[in-house]
Amino acid sequence: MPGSSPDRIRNFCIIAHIDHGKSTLADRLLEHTGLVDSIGNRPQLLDDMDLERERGITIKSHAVSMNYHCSDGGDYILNLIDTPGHVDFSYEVSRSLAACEGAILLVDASQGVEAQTIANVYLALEYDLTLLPVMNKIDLVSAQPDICRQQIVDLIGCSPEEVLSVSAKEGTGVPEMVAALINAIPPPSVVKDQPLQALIFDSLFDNYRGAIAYVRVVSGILKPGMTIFFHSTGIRYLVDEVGLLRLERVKTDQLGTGQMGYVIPGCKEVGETRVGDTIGDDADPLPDPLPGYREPKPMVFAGLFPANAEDYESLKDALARLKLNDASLQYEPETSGSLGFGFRCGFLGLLHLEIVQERLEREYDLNLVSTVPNVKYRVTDNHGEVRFIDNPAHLPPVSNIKVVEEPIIKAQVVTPPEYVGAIMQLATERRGIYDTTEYLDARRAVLHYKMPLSEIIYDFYDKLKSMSRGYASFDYELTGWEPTLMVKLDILLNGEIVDAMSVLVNEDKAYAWGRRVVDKLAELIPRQMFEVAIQAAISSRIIARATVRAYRKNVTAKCYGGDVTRKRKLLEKQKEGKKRMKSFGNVEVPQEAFMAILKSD
Amino acid sequence: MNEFALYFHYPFCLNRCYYCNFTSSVLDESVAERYRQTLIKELLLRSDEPPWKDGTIRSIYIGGGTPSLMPAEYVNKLLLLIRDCFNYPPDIEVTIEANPGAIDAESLSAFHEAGINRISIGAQSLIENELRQLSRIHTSKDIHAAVLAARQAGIYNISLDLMYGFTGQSVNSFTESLNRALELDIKHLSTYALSIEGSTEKLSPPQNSSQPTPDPDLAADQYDALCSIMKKAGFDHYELTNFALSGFQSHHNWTYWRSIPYLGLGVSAHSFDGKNRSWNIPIIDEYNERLERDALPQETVEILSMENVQTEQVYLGLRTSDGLTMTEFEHIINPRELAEMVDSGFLIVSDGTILVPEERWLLLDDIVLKLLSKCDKIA
Ligand SMILES: Nc1nc2c(ncn2[C@@H]2O[C@H](COP(=O)(O)OP(=O)(O)OP(=O)(O)O)[C@@H](O)[C@H]2O)c(=O)[nH]1
Ligand code: SF4
Ligand SMILES: [Mg+2]
Repeated sequence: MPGSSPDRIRNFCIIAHIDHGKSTLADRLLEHTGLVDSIGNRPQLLDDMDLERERGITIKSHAVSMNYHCSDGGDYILNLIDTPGHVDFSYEVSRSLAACEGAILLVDASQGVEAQTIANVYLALEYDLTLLPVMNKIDLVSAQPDICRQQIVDLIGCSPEEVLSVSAKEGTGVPEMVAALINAIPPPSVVKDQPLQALIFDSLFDNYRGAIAYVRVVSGILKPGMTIFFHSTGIRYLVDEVGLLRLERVKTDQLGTGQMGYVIPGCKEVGETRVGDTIGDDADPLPDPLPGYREPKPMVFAGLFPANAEDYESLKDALARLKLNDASLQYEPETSGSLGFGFRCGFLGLLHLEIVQERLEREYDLNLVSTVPNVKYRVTDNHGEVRFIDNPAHLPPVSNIKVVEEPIIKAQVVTPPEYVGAIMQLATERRGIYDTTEYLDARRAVLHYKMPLSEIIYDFYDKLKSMSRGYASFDYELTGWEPTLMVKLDILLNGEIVDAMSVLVNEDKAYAWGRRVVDKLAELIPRQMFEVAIQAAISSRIIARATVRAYRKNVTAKCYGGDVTRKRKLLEKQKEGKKRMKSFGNVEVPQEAFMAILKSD
Repeated sequence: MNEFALYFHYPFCLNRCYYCNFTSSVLDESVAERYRQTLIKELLLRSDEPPWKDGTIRSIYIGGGTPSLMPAEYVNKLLLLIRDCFNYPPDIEVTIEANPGAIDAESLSAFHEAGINRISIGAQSLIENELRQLSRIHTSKDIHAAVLAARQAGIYNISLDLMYGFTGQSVNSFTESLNRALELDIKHLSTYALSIEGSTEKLSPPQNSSQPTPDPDLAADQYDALCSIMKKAGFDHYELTNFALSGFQSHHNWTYWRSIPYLGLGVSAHSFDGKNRSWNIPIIDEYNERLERDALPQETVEILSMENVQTEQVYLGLRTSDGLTMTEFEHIINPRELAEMVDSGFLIVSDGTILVPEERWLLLDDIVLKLLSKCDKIA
């Protein structure tokens, strides 16, 4: 194998704000190293999930190993991890960083430094990575390389000459970038004669092979036939197979120190392979695991229920398998009065929720209903006992509550100065408390706010984008808890509470929330045989209502010999359509309604 | 096979109505002449084929299109041929559809002599300006004339078609139409709420804004008036869209609702042999060409599963005042939905029969969907 000695290996990832061109740059690297002849009409080749291709964004980190013959005469192994840019998937980024020595920091020269650029730089520095600053999209007429370069210099303290320029679209500057990368990013460090230690940075479940772990070998050698153990569980496995991550998995004899690749440990149980865990050699164990990852903190919680009660077990299996591939997903069983048996899940954000739901539905052929998402609250009762409530149904009676605290975030909004006024107004509406403003340069202000998390999970990002014509970006981190006045708002359909639609909401916002949900539901619930009364209530006080009138006619006019087949097919189609409906009492609600009521128009 | 109903399709009209989704085109006499030959050819070919061979006819229906445009001699020839092909008992119901603007006393007499004993007249309305809005080619006077001429010719079993539920119409104008129709001493009435669906949508959605469009809420009000007027007039509401005086229910239509076999001849005609359904190509030229090559003009045979058949039987049965026999369908009916709908008056169960009450018939599609929905295990 060319350059298999560690000093010929470069492990790096590409980090950037969303849409700055990471996956497109990865395409050029695949071509330049010859792993792929030509990307052709499948741009962002590494985005191989259907969902990624449909939405045009990266959801998962993707690792790929390339051989490269450098003009200096040497052969190298370039192990690249393409990462997602959306804030909901920053956990994917930190997992990738831990497996690398360096990162290409990519900045769209027409957009400049944005919120996730800053956030990802801080993350990379936490992991002590060497940064290679690169400006992208220099082919665009709207590119402002000078301004962008200066912003990068100010952000990471490099010299202006170190900032490279490329067009990932056209390939300009890519060979130079690869050469610079080999020079700048250090090879994996080697502690001589140290036994095996490998970090699991990703995993997936394969129907034929079982659990497969993606690893970075930090020391020693990993090969088939050896007995390994996982630090977190202590369980031992015989290694079935190891190999490299090309576009497909390619079997090899071994994975040496510094390498990235995959291991098939022949795990029977889905839950045993854990991202962040360390693999050791059973014959020569080291006592301490590698530093793992911080457990990701879920931000929003929602119940996921099978639309058909019989699918509960399938959902359980599907969650376990998906968790292998999405370590940030958390779940536990839950029962709902209106939806039956399901799982309360924790997500990193609303997009994450949407993606998880869609992946479960597509990859595991399930039909799911999601409850209205909520943040987690800290409730102290009159006896001083503290509980965390992530499910409105579990809120103790108001008379027992001493104080409710809600999660607070530190938010930073990066924006051109002309939108500062509008953004400040939005932040105030969302109960934000202004902290400071700093200027990256004349074109970039960074506003710092303290805000309740509950105010940003729904549509804050969309609002921000639309009011700044796409230019403002935003990042946040949890900082603590603060007391809040909160009420439980119930939604009633024909007089019955639908627990899956209950939310905990700030008292001042309850009325507007109730009004909005009721109106939205009136739009989403189709007319049916009965009139449907939709109400929003706090305790038992109705604060908003709307009705969906019953329709009076739904029948095919004539039905003779030539109409029977067509009619039956129509009935069958309507029956299928009904499967996407959930009944509450005699009211039928489209499954999408639960999520759709959150979206602003 | 012993008994079946026989249907002929005659796909020509003097004018195409914008809301119509029957297979029909504007009359071109040379095409029609050719078609009349191929239609006879299909009759001959089919009558030699199992399962129709040597069968007994229960009823004959000549529909369209506008079959009253058929030359009387042709109708005569057709009915004579049927006698040669099948067992044709005397006194069975033999219906022809007529457009009041495309019929005269002479042909009516000749039809009667040929063996036609029932006529279904496409009146649609008896209000002059509604007829104009619907772009019908006839006036309400033509309707009167057609009814009288039919009776004069000896055809007493007269049915009218009326339309309702379209914009520009009102409850009053519809009851006026109904009363005028009843004054004509008809034996049978079919009523259809205007719907613009299926192929019509693809062809031409109403282009000029004066063309009426469906108004479902108006239709519901008119339907209530319809039911009460017809009851007073002594008519039996025996199927969702059909009313008859005692003894004048359409035999032919019952074959469809009771899943009795039927043989459909002509372009786009459907047949049902008791197990499977099949239908002919819907394009006149292709239909002609095939038969001229002595080939059968079938387009599709649909193999019906047990579940298909039962779904159809539930839907069709509930369209009639006979309803469904509980024991036959118990296994596919959702008992919880049944109980709920009985409670709220959408269904009646009595003497082991399930019925949709007249005042709920307009919601039949929903009722059937609920009834056939899979049982929810958690509830
Ligand atoms: N003009 C131009 N467009 C580019 C260039 N690089 C990427 N793009 C376009 O920018 C858009 C985003 O590119 P991606 O490669 O998907 O961006 P990404 O950073 O991987 O996005 P996420 O993974 O969702 O964060 C696509 O429409 C690309 O075609 C470039 O150099 N020039
Ligand atoms: S006359 Fe009857 S069959 Fe002919 S186009 Fe009009 S509605 Fe259709
Ligand atoms: Mg990407």
